Amino acid sequence: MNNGNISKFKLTLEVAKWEFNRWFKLKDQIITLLISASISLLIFGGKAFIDKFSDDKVELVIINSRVLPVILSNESKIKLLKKEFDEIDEQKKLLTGKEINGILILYDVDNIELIVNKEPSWFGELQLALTSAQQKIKLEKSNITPEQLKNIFQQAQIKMNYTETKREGSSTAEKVSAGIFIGLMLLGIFLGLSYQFVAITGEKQLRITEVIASAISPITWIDGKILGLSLLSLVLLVTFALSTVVFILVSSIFGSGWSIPLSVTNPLLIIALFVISVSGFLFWNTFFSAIAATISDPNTSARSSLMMVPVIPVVIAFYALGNPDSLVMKILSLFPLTSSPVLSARLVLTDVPFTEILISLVLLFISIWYLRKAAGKIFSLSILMYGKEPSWKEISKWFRESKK
Amino acid sequence: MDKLDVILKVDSILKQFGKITAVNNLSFNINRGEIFALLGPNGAGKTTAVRMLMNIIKPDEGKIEFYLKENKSSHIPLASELGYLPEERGLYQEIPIIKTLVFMGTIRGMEKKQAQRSSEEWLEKLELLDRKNEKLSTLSKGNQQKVQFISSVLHNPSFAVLDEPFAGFDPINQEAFLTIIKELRDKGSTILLSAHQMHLVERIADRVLLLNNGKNIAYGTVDEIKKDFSTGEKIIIKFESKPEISLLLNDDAVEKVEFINDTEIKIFLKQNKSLSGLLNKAASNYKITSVRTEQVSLHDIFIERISKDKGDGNE
Repeated sequence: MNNGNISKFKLTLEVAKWEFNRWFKLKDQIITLLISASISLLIFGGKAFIDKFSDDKVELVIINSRVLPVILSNESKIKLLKKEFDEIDEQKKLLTGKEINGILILYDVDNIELIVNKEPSWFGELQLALTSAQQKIKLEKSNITPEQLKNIFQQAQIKMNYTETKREGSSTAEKVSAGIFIGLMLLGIFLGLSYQFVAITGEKQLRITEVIASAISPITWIDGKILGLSLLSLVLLVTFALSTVVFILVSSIFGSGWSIPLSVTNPLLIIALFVISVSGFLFWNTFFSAIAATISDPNTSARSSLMMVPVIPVVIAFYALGNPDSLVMKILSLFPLTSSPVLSARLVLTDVPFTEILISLVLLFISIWYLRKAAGKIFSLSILMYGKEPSWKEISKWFRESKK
Repeated sequence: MDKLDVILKVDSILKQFGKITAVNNLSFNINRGEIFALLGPNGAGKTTAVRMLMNIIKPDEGKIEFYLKENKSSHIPLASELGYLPEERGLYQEIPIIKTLVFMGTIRGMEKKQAQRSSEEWLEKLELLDRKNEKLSTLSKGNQQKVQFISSVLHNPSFAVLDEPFAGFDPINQEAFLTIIKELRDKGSTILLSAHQMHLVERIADRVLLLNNGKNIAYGTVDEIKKDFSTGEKIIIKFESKPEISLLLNDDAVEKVEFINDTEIKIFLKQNKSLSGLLNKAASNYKITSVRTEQVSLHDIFIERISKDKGDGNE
């Protein structure tokens, strides 16, 4: 369609804006962030509150404490009350009256008895303290110094020397961050695809397609949809990433010990992840806009199950957590179907050469360009087909024609 | 017809879907500023022809040329110059009406403010301005139709295709839309109308094209088509008792006879034949309670031509 006084670019932007605004609700994003902060506050703040005000001190009478030097940590709830053998009967009465929680009788180092009313929840902690005390006594008797013992059980020391200038191996925190990012990316892709399905099949079902197809060309229409919904995916991804950050920050206030690794906050890494995410969303939204255009009813069409396809590259990306520098992962981070999640994971976990990032992005953009042309062709021919879905043979024919 | 007065020239277009020929070697012109009616039974090829004109699908053969601006021809029309109300109605149900209309205006080349102003003017004209921020789904079917109509004309198109514009309206709104369509024409828009309400089309159309099986079977002004029709006037006679039809059919002036009910019949007279002989014959055999004459309507012509075309096809 010739729109004369309005450029195709402007029209594409109009459609993109329309698609974005159709689905984006600022209120929902704010609510997502607030929910994340509230959940974190409830979990970690609640735990801190309970710990602070809970009155569950354990009073444990220890008879003949000279036998073993039992040492408990400062945070321990167990309070040791030292008594002698002649006080046992009196202590047993106190135990029956539930005024104390237990009586620990140390006959000698290897002969210990614990008298309690019921199975104690603090037994594990007590056992650890007693084991540690027993080991200390036995070490002293064997004349082995703690240094000698440490030396015997020490792990083999290997000095690492890298031939390339690399950063050190990825930490658990970095692996968790990469895992979270891959998960968020999957979420972003799925949300984008869901909107794409609902938008396109909805327009077909509401019979809006004919009105729009008479005003703008299918390629402008699909370009606008892809841009608008990819932007929406990105905004949703940012919201979820921010809510994860909010969750971690709130939890750290209450001493959860969780933090964001410094390497993940590197601005260059954030920019690279941003570009790769956008490219990934563009790729998958382009792919699925064509599929969605061939579907008449998403509730009954077998093609709706194709939405699961993006799970494959994301699952592969999780393998990168184990070995991000393997040859297979390097190849998969260049291959357009898998590159966006795999490359993102590798960027968080290891140092990826700039040339690899560049090649990966170039290949991805070339694929997007050709996929867009094919999607436009399939879209233009399928969008007015109500009731009957085009066969795979027809779709494959249109795909081939789009390359000409 | 001077080429400058032609806004659309359709030359031998053909469209096939598999083995079915939807539009078969169809040619016609539409003049600037006229209301042109495209008529035909269901499956005649009207929607396919309209979709080709709107550049939604391409003809397999033939040529479509628009002369929207002066004498400049274009195979692909300017979207901003076209308005389209498709037979398959549909707009975004869960979005405020004004937002949808402004979007429809902007993709037709309007500036946002201009689209907003025009949408509001049209909504006011159709008594829907107070509901502009409501979702379309909250409106009645008739009011949804009005919004759909606005979306096709709010950008003041030079050429508007209105497919079944009266469908879903009550008689009062049908009359109102007759006036609105005439006003659009008077303001300079050319209208291609496709409708089944022959009595309305007859009152509004400057020229008509009757389509059957993808082919042109009648084309011209309403008067020209009526002139070409094989019968002259139509008389409706009401008898006291059921008449013998063969008695009336034997008369030289009679082209055909149709029963309206047991005692009332419709007689189509041959061109330039007098009805006095027929009336005498009828009155001498039966008691007549009333007689009235009617002009042959587009509806009659439509039925007759389609039946004839079917007959020809069967031969």
